[in-house]
Order: sequence, then structure tokens, then C-alpha cells
Amino acid sequence: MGESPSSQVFFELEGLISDALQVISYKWLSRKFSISSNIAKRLLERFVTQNPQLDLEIVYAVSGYSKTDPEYYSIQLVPKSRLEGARAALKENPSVHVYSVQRCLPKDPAQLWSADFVQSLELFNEPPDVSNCLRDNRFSAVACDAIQRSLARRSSGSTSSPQASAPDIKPHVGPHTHPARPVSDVRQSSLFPKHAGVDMKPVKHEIPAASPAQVNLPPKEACSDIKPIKNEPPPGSEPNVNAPKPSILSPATGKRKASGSGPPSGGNGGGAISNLWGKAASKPKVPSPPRATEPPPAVMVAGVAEARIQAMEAGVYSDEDVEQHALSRTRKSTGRRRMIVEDDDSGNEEAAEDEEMIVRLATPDSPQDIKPQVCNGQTIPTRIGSKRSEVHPKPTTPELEPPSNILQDKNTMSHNPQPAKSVKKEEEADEKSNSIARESPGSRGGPKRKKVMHTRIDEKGREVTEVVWVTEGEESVANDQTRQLATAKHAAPTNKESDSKTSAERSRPAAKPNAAPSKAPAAKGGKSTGKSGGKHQGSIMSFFKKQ
Amino acid sequence: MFSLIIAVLRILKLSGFEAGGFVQLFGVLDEMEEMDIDVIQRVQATYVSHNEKFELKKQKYKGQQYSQLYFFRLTLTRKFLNPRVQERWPSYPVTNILGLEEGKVCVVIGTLYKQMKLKPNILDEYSKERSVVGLVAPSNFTDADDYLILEDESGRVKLVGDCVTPSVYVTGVVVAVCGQAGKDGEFHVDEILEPGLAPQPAIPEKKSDGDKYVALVSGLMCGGSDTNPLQVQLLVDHLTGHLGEVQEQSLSAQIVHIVIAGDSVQLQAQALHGQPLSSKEQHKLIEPVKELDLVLTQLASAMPVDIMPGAKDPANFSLPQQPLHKCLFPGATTYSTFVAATNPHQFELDGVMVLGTSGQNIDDLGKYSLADDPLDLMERTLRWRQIAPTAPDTLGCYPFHDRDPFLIEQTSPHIYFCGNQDKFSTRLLRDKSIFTGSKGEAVRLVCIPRFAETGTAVLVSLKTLECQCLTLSTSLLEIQSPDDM
Repeated sequence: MGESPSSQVFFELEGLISDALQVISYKWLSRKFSISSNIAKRLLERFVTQNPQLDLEIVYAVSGYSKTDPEYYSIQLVPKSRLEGARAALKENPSVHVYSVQRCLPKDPAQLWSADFVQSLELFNEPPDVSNCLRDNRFSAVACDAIQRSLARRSSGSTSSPQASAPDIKPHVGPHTHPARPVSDVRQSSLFPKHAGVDMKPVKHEIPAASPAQVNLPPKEACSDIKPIKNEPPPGSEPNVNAPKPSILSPATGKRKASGSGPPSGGNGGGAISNLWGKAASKPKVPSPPRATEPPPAVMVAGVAEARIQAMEAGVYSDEDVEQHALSRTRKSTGRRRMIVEDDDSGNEEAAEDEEMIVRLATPDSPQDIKPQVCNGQTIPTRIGSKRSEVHPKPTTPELEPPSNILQDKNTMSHNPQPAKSVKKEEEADEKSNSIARESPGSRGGPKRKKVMHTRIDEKGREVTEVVWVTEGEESVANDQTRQLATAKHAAPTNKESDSKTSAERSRPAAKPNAAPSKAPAAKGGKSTGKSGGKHQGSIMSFFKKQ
Repeated sequence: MFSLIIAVLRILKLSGFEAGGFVQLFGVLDEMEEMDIDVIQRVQATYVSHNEKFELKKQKYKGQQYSQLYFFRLTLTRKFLNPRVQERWPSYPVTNILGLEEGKVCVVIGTLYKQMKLKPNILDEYSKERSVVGLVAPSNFTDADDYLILEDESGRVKLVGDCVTPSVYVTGVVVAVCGQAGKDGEFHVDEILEPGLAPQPAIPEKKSDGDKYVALVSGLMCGGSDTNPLQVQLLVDHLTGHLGEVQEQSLSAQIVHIVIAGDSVQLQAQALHGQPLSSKEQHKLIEPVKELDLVLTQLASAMPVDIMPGAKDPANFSLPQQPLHKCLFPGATTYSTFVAATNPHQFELDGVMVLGTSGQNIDDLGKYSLADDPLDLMERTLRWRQIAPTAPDTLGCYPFHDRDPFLIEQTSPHIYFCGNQDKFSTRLLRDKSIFTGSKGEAVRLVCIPRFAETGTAVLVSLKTLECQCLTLSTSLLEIQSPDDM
């Protein structure tokens, strides 16, 4: 029980560090896998000692009383090369532990901070009535019972007299108000790291009815299954709340790179990789009826790859967003001017998000895109069934597959998710250039243009006014098309799969007559376009550029 | 449910699924959990806020001037001075300035006014002729030609004499002077008597053997372009008990309270240009505050936090600064441990009285008087019983009409801090001749450095008033010599 999570963790860490070049700090680890930060430190240390071949840069936290007079308590982050020096400057018995592990030392120390920051921001942005590890400090080694958290404080009571708004206990006040620290929580969550990571809610009402089935699965499998679930936006939450998670998973393609370039085995970490591939390879041997209907490539890597594709699909947008956010903060320390530029981007987040939605609609579905959804329909019933059956075949497959086999799998891996992203990007780029090319003649003042206003009530009862520039003769056509575009936009999330192809085709011609709805009051999509379309004529261009 | 899981695992184990490593690692993780079970409990202290006098709740501005503030200052301080004067000069009469007689030794109690040549005057800006004063604003406005004037309700008189040291005093200090009036309306001072430190209640004896600390930090400057966010995060991690091994965590468990003394955010002020802000600019403006809220949320989830406004915070300018509005911190406000405090902030922790400011009072004293060290300035304010003597004169201040909130009326604090100083310095003020009451009194003076520049927070023991620094540094990560690479 203990083994699988830790080796899975190590495996995942390896991927993140060597390919995603992510900084893994003990705190990130503790929150990610819902273990206490002291365990996370030890886990990280074990990871470092077990994987010397990775040639990782380690940052230590060294703390203790200084030898200077007057003495002070010093806490320093030091790279491995300076560890001894830093240690020597302190009095006997300094406290030393691994702070973070990364591929190379960042030039700007703030980069060590940004990964943590993105994670805490994500927890911070969860709905206020949710208790999570940021809000109750549950992974700390120091507990404080006196703390109460109550949303009532926000609306009532003066901040300077905390006694005033005392115990109007809310149901969610959570584990931390209990006199005894819920140690069991920590334990429990460390037993099921993956599971606890899925819903960051208080461990108490964790384990909903459905979860035991997943926990019962062989842990590795369970892990890869839970991932996609994680990535599906929970109904009430904002998209950026779970944004960073995909970013964690997306380097899946990178893992392949590392294991291909580096020596495939050596140490336990290597073993973990081969285990995973071995498992993937073993799957085709077990014919599982529902999967037979799927296209062949999906069968090859079903368990892992489909999750990743899904993750990637969900993460196309959010990846960039989050990275940018972290990046902007990191760069802040270098100069103000730069930061403003970054901020401009982040300020457009909302607009970008909407645009992205349209883009996704407009992008013709590649087979990979459809696949996850097909799987999704089947997933829950199939997986539980198939997992049971997989338990037995696994031992029969040798732990280390022949290298050729591994390579083959890697190839399929590389073929699957990678194109999904790149194809999409290409298409985006195509479309960008297309739309620019198409609209440019129009905007430069084609022979005869006319401004037409259409006001109508859409299906949600909002008044939508569309300002359309039409070249004469094309008027009626363009009109139709813009209207379709608008409806497609509103209906976006629901008929994503079925309509996306058609709506994509519709939206392309719509781009031809320099058209943009200028005003769509409450509509989210309309807002951004309206902004660009309504104020300045020139910034219509930006709308199309984003596509 | 558990049995189910264990059953499955047993199957796995029996079927030889990586059996070797399984058992081994299982043991290790198990051991880790065992070690982690002993969570340290944070020590607690009873907290009482004494900020009522700094709050503007009941104040209504009706166009009043500052005269009432000066009046209250004089009459109240006279109450403190009278017994000292009786003790010191029992034979001399106490008169007002109008009643001075030439050649007769007497004692006068009044408010000092310091005539300064270099003191900036708002009228200079509007004068027709170019002023002689240099264009470069000096950081200190004292001059050798400055002189002191004593004022009371009846009149004013210029103070002369060897013991008069204008560089030490500032406008607004109430003192008693002993001397005699001269021919030309001057007063020849023989001695100046200050109110002296207020009596101090003894720190209640604690049976518990463990020490308790209060953490003081200022100048976090969240969101600033030059701020290293990692440093702040390290501080948070240390205080909340994440960082370090067990011995370090047991240290942080002894910290019962943290006070953030001003300048916690650095707002992008250039975004404000008097015109409606676009959402982009609003976002830019609010980002540092959000970052601070995240810091505060983490702190408040682990320990009691007081945050005071400072000169650069989104709060009112004039002292006493009112608490930062809770809507700035939607995350941290939900905690019972989060307190937004006024700027001069006074509170009690386990009977230890703590008083402090975000530094404006001391900074202003530094401009209008001379001292080797901000600690000297702090000590003077305690002896004057007036934490912001320059307040209505050169320091923005609300025109109170019923009190002088900056007066130290009843008790001297045990810990007196001042935020946003250049460097950390501390002193235990333990002069028996200064204290008017019984022995054993002592005030711990603390200058809290700006955290963003120094990475230093200050821990003060509530038991012994000993003071130690907590320095967090990431500088070793930055400088990479080629040998290290």
C-alpha cells in the first residue's frame, strides 16, 4: 500500500522535474499529494537519494542560530554546492532539509516561489465555504486550536474586535476547531494521497460513495484514472481554479523524451517507468469488450494516454494561462515595465478565455479530440470492470519489458497526445492567418460596404445587437452567418462534440465580412467581442487575431 | 471500507506484485507517519486590544482646529508633571507665562515650539520672490540657529540658557522649565524637566516554563517590483510551522502572535491617474493586495495576526491610521485570528503591554531633531509620554477635540516597537532614575527593519523581553560563482 503511491509519486516527480522543468518544493508536494509537509520533506529527500542519476539541483533549507554576535536565527535557502558553507556558519545542530528539487537552479529565486504560489492561489480561489489545506493549515507540524474560521466575519462584526463575532459556528468550520488535532486526517490522507488530492475538501466528507471503488483499484491504475476526473472542471468553480493541474499532467509527452534519451533503467525510478510501460503494453493482451470498439491507437495506450489527452485538451488553454501568471510574477522582480506587459495579458484573461472557447469550437475535430469523449461515456462502467480483470494479468507480465516493446509504446505515446496539441495549434495558426488575410481586403475599404445593425432576442432572452459590415450583394449571406456564429457561441459548451465541426465551418466564412457583434450585454462571449468591436474600429483586428 | 482496501492490497501482495520493494517501502512510509503524528501545539496567550483611543468611531469633524488637541496635551501632561515638579523643586512656585516676574526663580509648565529656519513652509511655494532655500529638500531640517519657545494658555516666551538643547526637542513636547525671566522677555532656563516614563505594571509571573514570543515584522511590500516573494513565503512557512525540522518547528510553535507593522503592500500607484480605471488597470492595482491576502490567510490559519496600516498602505494618511478595511482581505478576514489594527497599536499579551507604530512618528522626529539612533528617538517619546509629539505640526493627525490619543497616560508599555526602520536595533530601557515607580521596570525598544530589504523579522520574548532576529535569506541562490556551477 505504501509502495505504490510513493513510487508513483517518484515517477510523476521525475517527469515533472526533468521534462516540465518544474520546481518541486516540499510544500508543493505536500499539498499536491495531501501529505503533511514533514513527510513531504522526507519523501523528497528519498527521491533525491534514490535518483542520483538524474543529476538534479537540490535547494536546501538550512536554519539555525548564527555564530555571530548578537546571534540571530537564520533561515537560508542554499544550493547543494554551498550547503556545507552555510551549515558551518551556524551553531551546532542546524536544521537542514530539502526545500526543492529542480533540473537547474533558477536565475531568479522567485521562480522557486511561483510554482507554490500558483498552487496556493488555486486553493485560495476555491469557493469560500470550502475548507482546504491552505485554509486550515492541516499539513503543518504546528497546530493551533484557537483558530476559528467563519464566513460570517466577512459580512458582520468589526475586524478589530474579534470577540464580537465569536462562535456563530458555521457547519463548515471544519476539523481544525476540534480540541484534538485531527491527526487521523493527515494519516488518512497520506494513505490515499491521490484520492485526497482529487477533492481538496475537508478529509471528513471526503470518500464519497463513488470513491471506494476507485481506491480499491490497484493504486497505479487508480492514479491514472483519477487524473482526468481531476481535470474536468467541477460545476461551480472557475476554470482557473483547477487550471494548474493540467499543467502538471501535460508533460506526459515529455516523460517519453526523458526515458528515451536517458538510460532506461537504473535505480528504482527507472523501474517505475518500465513498470508503467510494461503495464500499458500488457493491456492489449487483455481484450476488454467495450474498448474493442475504439480506434486501435486508443487501445494501445488506453489507460494512461487517454487520460493525458483529456488532460491536454482541458489544459490547452489553462496551461498557458497559469504559466503566464506565474511568469508575470516572477518577472516582476526584474523590472516594472515588463510586468505591465505581462499584466496586459492577464487582464485579458477573460477575453482570452472566451476567444479560446470559440477557437476550440472552430477547430475541426481531429480523431484524437473525439476519442476522450467517447471514452468518457464509457469510462466509469468500463474501467471498474476492466480493472478487476487487469489485476491478474499484471503479475504474469515480466516487470521489465524488452526494450523494443518499451520503445514502441513510447512511440505510440508520442504520436497520440502530441499531434492533438500541435495539430490544433497549427490550425489555430492557420486560421489566424486566414482570418487576417480574409478580413484585410474588407477592412481596407472594399468597393461597397454597408453597416447593418441587427437586433434580436436570443434564446436566453438577452437583447443582442450585431453590427455587421457587409459588402453589397453578400448581405443576406453574411447576415445569416453571423447569426449562426452568435448562436454557436452561446450554445458552445453543450454541442461541443457534434456541432463543433459545422460551427467551425460556419465561423470561418463569418470572418470574411468584417463582422463582429458589437453589443451583447450580459453574454460573456459578447462582452469581450463587444469591447473590441464597439469602442475602436481598429481593435476588431485583435478579435480576429486571437482566433 | 478500510478492510476492503486492505483486502485488495493483500491480494496484490500475495500475487507477488513487486513484493520486495513493497514491504520495504511500506515500512518506510509507515515510519514516516509514525514520526509525524506528534504535531506540536502552538502556545497561546491571552490577547487584549487597547486600541479604543486610536479609533475614530465616535469622532465627528465639525471644522475644529488643532487647538483642542494641544490643550488636552498640556493639561493632561501637566497632571503628570506636577508631582515631579513638587518633588524636584519644592521651594519654587509654579506660575504661568503671563505671571513671570523678572529676576524671580520659578517653574513654568508649557508646550515647546521649535523655531526652525529650514522647516518647510507651504507658503514658500506661493511666495512671489524666489526663496533662498535650496531646491534640494534636505532630509533633516535642524539647524544651529533653531531655538525653543515655551507656550502655555497665557502666552509664550523664548527659552535661552546652556541647558536648552533645541536639537533634541521638537514642537509639541510638554515640559517644565525652572529658571528666571530675563530683561528682554527671554527666559533663562536652569533646568528642563520632562514628564518621564509612565509607571509600569509588573509582568505577571507565569508558572509555565516554556517561553512565548511575539513576532514583529514590517515592510513586507507584497507585490513590489523589487520584492522577493520567496523571502516572504519563507517567513510564512516558518511561522506557520512548515519549514525546518522538529527543533525549528518547536521554535515557531512558541510564537503566539505576529504583528505586521505597516507597509505591507506596494501598490502600483502610477496606475492611478485620476481617470476611470480600465479593468486591466484595476487588476494591476489589486494584485498586490491579493497577494498580501494570500499571505495573511496562510498566517491567520496558523496563528493570531495583527496587521497595522503604514505610510504606503491603502489607508488614511493622518494618524491615528484606521484599520485596513476588511474587504481588502476577503480570505484572511474569515479567521478569528485576524485583526486589522489601528496604526499606533496597543495591545496586551499575557499581561505584557505592547505599543508600537508603523514608524511615521519616529521618521518625523528624525527630520526635526537630531539623534544617533532611532532608538534614542523612541526613548525620548517615552520620556515625553507622547508617542507622536510632532503630530499636528508636521505629522498628519486627526483634530481630536476630546483627547490626545498619543499621550501615554496610564502605563508604559513593556514592548515598544517602531516599524519600517533601516536596520534592526533594540535596547532595553532600564534606567531606574527615569522610571518614576518601583524598580524592575523595563521597556524593550525595538526598531523593526523593513522586511523587503533585510529579510528580518523580530521575535520578542514575553517572558524575559529578550529580543532576537529571524533572518530569512535566499541570497545564496542568486550569486553563482563559476566554481559552483
